[in-house]
Amino acid sequence: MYEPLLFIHWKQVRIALLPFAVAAFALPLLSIQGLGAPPGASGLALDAYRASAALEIWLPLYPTLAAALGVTLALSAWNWDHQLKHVHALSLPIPRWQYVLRKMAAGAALALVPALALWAGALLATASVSLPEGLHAYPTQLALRFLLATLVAYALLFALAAGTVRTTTVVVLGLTVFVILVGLLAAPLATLFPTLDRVNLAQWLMESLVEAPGPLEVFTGTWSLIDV
Amino acid sequence: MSDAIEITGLAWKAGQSFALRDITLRAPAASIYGFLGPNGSGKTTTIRMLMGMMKPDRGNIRVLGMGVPQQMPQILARVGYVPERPHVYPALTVAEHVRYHASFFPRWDAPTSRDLMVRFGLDPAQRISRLSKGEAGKLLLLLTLSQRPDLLVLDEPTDGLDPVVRRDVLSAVLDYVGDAGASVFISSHLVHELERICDWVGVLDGGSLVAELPMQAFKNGIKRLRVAGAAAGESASGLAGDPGRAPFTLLTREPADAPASPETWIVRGWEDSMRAWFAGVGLELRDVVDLDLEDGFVELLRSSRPSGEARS
Amino acid sequence: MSRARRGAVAAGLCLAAALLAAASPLAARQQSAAERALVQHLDTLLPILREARLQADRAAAARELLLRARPTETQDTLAIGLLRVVTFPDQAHLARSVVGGAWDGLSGMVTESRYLREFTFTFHWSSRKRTVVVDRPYRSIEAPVWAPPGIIEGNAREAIGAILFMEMQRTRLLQWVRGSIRAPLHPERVYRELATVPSHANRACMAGDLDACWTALGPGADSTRLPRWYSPEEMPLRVASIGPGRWWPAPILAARLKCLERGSPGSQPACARFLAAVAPEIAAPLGMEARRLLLWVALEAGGPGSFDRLVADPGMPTADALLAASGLSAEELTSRWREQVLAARPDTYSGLGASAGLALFWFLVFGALALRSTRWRPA
Repeated sequence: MYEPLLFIHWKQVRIALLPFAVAAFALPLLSIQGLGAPPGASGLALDAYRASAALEIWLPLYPTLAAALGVTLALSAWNWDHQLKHVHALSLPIPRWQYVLRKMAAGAALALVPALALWAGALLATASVSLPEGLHAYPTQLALRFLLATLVAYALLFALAAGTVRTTTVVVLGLTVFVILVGLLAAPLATLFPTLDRVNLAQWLMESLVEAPGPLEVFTGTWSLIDV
Repeated sequence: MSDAIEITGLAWKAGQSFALRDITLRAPAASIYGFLGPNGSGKTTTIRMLMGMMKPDRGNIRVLGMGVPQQMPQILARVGYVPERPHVYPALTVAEHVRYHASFFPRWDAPTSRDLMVRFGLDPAQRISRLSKGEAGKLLLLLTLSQRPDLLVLDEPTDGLDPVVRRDVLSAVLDYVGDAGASVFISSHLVHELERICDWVGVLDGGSLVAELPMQAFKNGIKRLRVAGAAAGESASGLAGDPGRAPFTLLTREPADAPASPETWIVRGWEDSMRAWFAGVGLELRDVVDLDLEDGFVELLRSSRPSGEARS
Repeated sequence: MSRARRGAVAAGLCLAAALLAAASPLAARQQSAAERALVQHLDTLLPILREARLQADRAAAARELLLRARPTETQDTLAIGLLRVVTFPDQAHLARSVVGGAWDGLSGMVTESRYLREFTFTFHWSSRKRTVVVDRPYRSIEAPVWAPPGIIEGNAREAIGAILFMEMQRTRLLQWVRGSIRAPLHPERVYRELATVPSHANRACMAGDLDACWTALGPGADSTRLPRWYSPEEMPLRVASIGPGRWWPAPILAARLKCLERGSPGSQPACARFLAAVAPEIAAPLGMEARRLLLWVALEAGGPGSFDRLVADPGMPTADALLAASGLSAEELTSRWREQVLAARPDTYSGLGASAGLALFWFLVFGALALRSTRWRPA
């Protein structure tokens, strides 16, 4: 019963997945363009400084692509069910949790496609340049981080989209109201409670999300294809 | 097992405008149960609760002897459901959807599926989004019948279909019932459609079940009587509403056109032996006319509404 | 006004006047020759200024002592090696532990230090209400209440190293290395610098050419250093990586801009002019952290009395001082330095394992939340 759900998800997302896979494959290749001579060629090897500086420009694109892919996979997982008001899914003779679990696993498996494409692109990219002494290529680590970031973004949106419209609205509205309140009340609270002056709630919220053990920590780590 | 479906005290309310009120219903096993009611009467809502997709405020539902929603997976493995609107994935082809659907049902009957595909003239390679309404209806029935269910729950399966397709669909249902001995719970607002196939009828109106009886009783029991000698001012209940006084249920009473003319009474539960009752109360029964099912249905609904002339 | 303060004021005025004059475009056009001369002499003025500032600080500390109330709380004075540490009795145990730990790393290298004897170290938990008071020049060791002993020991090491650094102010080493005398905190940055700064000297050093390492570190730098650091192709890249300083004189800024107009006539000489004009520690392919590591390697290699030998002769050239302190040849010393740098190679994806665990944890958490998806759907 897992394969049919994988097939259904694939049918829904394949058109979107293709550009993601192409982008993931091309990104490492684009990022090393013009940076070095092919292996065995004479002349200057890849200039380390130029390489690291040029590669840095491309770094934000990796987490961005991972986040976009995760969101796309999650929304596509539920798209048809939402359109059909879940009637077909709920008329299937399996417990709801099994259906959701298999659906989630199907999306996670599909995330492998762009991750593998990125891995292949990164391997090709690093094989096409000769690295100078001191620099190293990290195609596998980069692909792994990409996959992990995609999975986190996917799971987060999947959980949101899995709920009823009411649940999703409550969660999203709750977070929005919290952020707005934190912004509005920070100054008055700091006046009333001087000890709060040192605590920036908005900053605290952001750090809780993007720093360990926050859920988005994987997005803020190293995304280098070539580094020391 | 005595009942395929057993609903007790079902209640649900949506805002101020709509509510299901204390519905108690029993669809016997191996029967075709027609769930009649006008649009908006609550048929689809009841069926969705039956299928475990909506949570009732109150009441119990048992399907094939199992509780809803506690045993839904087991129930759904034995129930074929055709919802009011097509619920199939539009981007799949017919064959893909059949394959997808089949993988969830252990009793899936692939030969039946193939036969129905041919019988319904469905193209396996056709995308579902490009199917006509009739073809989509046939596909839904194909998916349902190939599950080899013990109970078919059909929510207005022929609504919007042309007569030919409607006949194909009902014919396939009857063939399956004859072959598998399954129960059917079919909702419709088209009374004549169910007239020939149903064993039992439940009539829902305004969220209440106003009648539940064998089809034969429904068809034969509602009559139009021509009655002379009744005083115009005498209330219907005074004449026949009291079970102790009248052996039938007076649904509506139409006054006479002229003082000498007889009144028209629509009654339920009529039997020929009741003719003698009129002489006993000083009335004269001049004529007994059979009503067709649709007229009977309309009169039943008129009688059940607060604005109706009579209430049963 | 004390002699020290007069010196500080004079040097400060001199430096400020030079910088202000050099920063004025009009003045730059009219007095470029004089400014160039001033710029060239800036490095020689800096040690005088620092010495003056030190004297001024001492005077200010003494004045503060006179103004402050006499201590009302009992204080303990601890002798730890050459150090004198004043603390409260209830914190003496901790002070002995963390300052002793910090001193252990230096005790073998330093047998005598005028400044260490002159300064008192104060130690107490950071508090507005309780402060250790001493009647002589002092240096506080920061001890935040939240900090574990390891961090406080690092603070103690920093404080001791900063006082020890004063010994170097009268030597020629000051031109080459600055900061606290301690083990570098971030040797991995040295690796990154060695691997990425566009310098053929760095590349050769990375590949194992020890002479190139010595050249890149620059202790024996002379007028021929630039071509040995950078090829003509590398110079613009290096210049581009050196951001414009706020107080740079106009000629230096102009040279930088000209250098970055790659391919235009005169850009190549402008690059060389710029790199020659900025301070050597900025222009060098390896920065302060790399040099500080070399100094520390030399002190460690030299063992007992190595620091004493380092500062024994104020007129000794930097390279000779390092070799004297270490007791090694330049090749041996550089080899040890290179080994430490290569060993400190940062693991770029060192946190990936933890990140992966965390990401999978959150994946499962969100998955579990999704499983709560209800059956009650169509309404």
